[in-house]
Amino acid sequence: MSQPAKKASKKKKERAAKVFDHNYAKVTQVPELVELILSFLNQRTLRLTASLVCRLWRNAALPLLDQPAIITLDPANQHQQDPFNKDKFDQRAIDSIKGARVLIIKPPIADPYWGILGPSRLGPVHHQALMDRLNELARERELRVIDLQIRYNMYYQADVLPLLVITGHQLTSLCLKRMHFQEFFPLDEILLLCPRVLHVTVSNVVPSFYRLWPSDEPDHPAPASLPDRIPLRSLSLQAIGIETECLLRLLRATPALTDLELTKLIGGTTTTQPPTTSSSQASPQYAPLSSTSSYPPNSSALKKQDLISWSNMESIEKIASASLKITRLSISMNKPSKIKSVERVRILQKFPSLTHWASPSFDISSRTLETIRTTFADRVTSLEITGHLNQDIVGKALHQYLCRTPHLQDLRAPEIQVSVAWLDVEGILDRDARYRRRREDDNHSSFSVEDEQLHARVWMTGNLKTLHLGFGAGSYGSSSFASHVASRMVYGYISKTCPRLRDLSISSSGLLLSLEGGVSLLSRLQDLRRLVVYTNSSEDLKKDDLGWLALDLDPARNVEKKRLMERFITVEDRTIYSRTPFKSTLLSQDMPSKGRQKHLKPTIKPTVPNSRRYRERESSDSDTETDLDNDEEGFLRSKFIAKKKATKMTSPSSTASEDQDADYMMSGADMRALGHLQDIGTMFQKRATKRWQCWPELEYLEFQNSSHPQLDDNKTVEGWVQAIRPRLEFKCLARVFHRR
Amino acid sequence: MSAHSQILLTSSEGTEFLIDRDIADKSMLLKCMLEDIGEIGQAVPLPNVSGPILTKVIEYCTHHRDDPNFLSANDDVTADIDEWDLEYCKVDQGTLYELILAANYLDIKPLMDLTCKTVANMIKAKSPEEIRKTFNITNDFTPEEEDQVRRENGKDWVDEH
Repeated sequence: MSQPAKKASKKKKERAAKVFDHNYAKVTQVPELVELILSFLNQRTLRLTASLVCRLWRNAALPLLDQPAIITLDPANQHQQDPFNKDKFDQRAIDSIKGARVLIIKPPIADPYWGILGPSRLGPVHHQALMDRLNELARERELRVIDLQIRYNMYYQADVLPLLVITGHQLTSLCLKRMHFQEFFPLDEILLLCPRVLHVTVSNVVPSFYRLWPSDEPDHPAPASLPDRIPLRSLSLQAIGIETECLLRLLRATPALTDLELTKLIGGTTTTQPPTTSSSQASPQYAPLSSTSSYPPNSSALKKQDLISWSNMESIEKIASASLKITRLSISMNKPSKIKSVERVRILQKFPSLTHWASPSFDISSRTLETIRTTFADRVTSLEITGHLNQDIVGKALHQYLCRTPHLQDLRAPEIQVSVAWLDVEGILDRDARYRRRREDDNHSSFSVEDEQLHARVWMTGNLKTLHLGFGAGSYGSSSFASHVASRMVYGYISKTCPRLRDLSISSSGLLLSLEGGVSLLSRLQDLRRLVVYTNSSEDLKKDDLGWLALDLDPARNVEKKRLMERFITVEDRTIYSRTPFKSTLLSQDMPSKGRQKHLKPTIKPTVPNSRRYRERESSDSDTETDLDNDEEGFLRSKFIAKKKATKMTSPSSTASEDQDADYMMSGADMRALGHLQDIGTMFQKRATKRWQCWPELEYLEFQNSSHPQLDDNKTVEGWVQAIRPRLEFKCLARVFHRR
Repeated sequence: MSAHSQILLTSSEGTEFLIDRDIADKSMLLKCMLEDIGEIGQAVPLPNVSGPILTKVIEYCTHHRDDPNFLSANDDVTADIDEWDLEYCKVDQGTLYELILAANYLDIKPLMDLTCKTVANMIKAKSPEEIRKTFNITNDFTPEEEDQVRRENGKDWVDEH
């Protein structure tokens, strides 16, 4: 290129850059535009990221930051059924509706065992105050509620309908849980009142039916018909009987519907009567408006074949043909279905866009999952199992499914327990070795037996992004595992078989939250954004155990940590293991390093030899890493051997050592040292040589020890984690923590 | 007004674009202007929009000319961007910003929402520092202010949804 051409090109680039900068300034520094851009972000991003960019962005984000207005059914309202009684309610909650986009009406207590406690409904004065406030805001055009959630016991006619009349026109999301409807479930009316609603969730407590208006009711004119096009995207109905024709009519009007959840459906006939004024806890003064003019009191009964149910396969087929866009589907009855799994899967196949399937556990068997696997191949990438009935059987079926389903991306089965015994890779190796020896004795070829058996028993979950699952003793029992071993085994197994997890929620009574328990092994999951661990352990959690949570550990800090880890992992016997040297040192950032070294005791007891079953059949070749911790200097020598190995890498003879480790490579994961302290040690050792970040994407972390109430000391740990991970939302509900 | 009447638009550089009236009506600015003063047979000057950007805007309006839900298409902020729109927004950041400004000037709400949503997607999963770097923004917070904002936003916030 000639000189003038170069200059022209340079000038052009400079000019372009100026225009570019100019537009940058215009778009990202004009409050109105920034506000519009930020309005597309979720609350989390607004709070934790966008607000921290600069002052202008902070000011633009402020009006978008919502605190939901939460109206609580206060126990004091129980006495308010008498309107002359003193009505105490939270005026602040009523006032907070102004500007709020989410309005939640909920009971004060939701007990996991007793369910929802508290009064049956808002007191009359409280309710009146709420309605007055909503009316006032609507008149002033200040009502911004787009998401209405009523989570407890309200009567549709008396309580909910007036709310919908005021707020319905602007709602995009509506959730009505434990609602009292009359015989006719008024979904059409709800959709007419809420023309912009995209997500509807309704659960019912008194039997109710979504059905077509009977034509032989001259005294009761039918409500206005549905509009031609409803923007609804997700619909979830629970414990309601649904007439097939009625749902088909709705599906035709909702072309954008992608999520359909019909659970605990009533498959029987309509024999119910509308609730009377004397029923429930309703007071005479504030009773639901029963038998209103819009509902015929004695409508004709529905026949069983009119209702959607698995026993009425034709109805499901009709839904399939009318739901071309449905990707997430759940259809379940209020009792186990007698229809064979093969039949059900055959119908599910007719939903052309299905990728997510949800089912109650009582409808799941190994045959069901196997049929799903073989029929849908890689089409169904998301699976959800609700409830906990047959959890052992379903747990085993699920484990087998996971061992054969490499394409699965999301699994939500929080109440299902997979036995820890099935995660014991060494046990599997051991059993297979015995099996192989037996085969060898019989002069049979044994080469492929081990591969077949192993690979069928280790999860092939390399693509899994969401995992919600429980772990327990299972039918095999895991009493042979010490709690620490079982805990490390669960954490280690997940960290190795599911490397791409983004959302992990695990529960088990045996999971430990301490460093020794191995929760740090989950830090291998670098894509993790949300982690929740539920446990029921009696072990205390110390804040020093969480030092590894620090986001960024540079090599200098790691060198020291590495040395400490060497000491830690050589002490494998619980009786010898002492927290003292570890407590004050591991990753603790607020003490100078010299001070920390002083705390170290120079002598560490010799390691108790591991009782690894696989060593029975392994040779005593010390050239493999798996055997290094057999002797007391294992980890000290490992550095030199690692160097040796590195030098050997270039030579073809290095394949010999790889062959030694081949047994532990399963489904693409290195399963060695599973359940051993060595697993934690080697993980930290590897990180010591390079800069490493712990869960850079993590947004939410929760450790919950359900057997113990939250105590003040939890705040110490929460404060500590907040100090080392300021952007992380951390919750800890556990036993007394040790203050330092 | 005939059903197939055409409107002449002039970009900032003077380039002329002849478009159908129904396409021009996608812009509230042009629609109101044409309704108020009628079709005068002269070119409508758009001094704030360059030729290449006007081409892109016309491409968007032409694609969505028969869309019955054009004005309500982006009401759902949680909705995914459709495939064509996604491809349409695969442009460099400078063009994207110019599109935002053009959509704002011409008052084309769906295009405005689409482009802003695209920028919002660029913000997601980034740290404040990364956002500043991406958008060339100077951090004008003092460390104390930044700490305070962090504390205020971090505390007492429970993800109810």
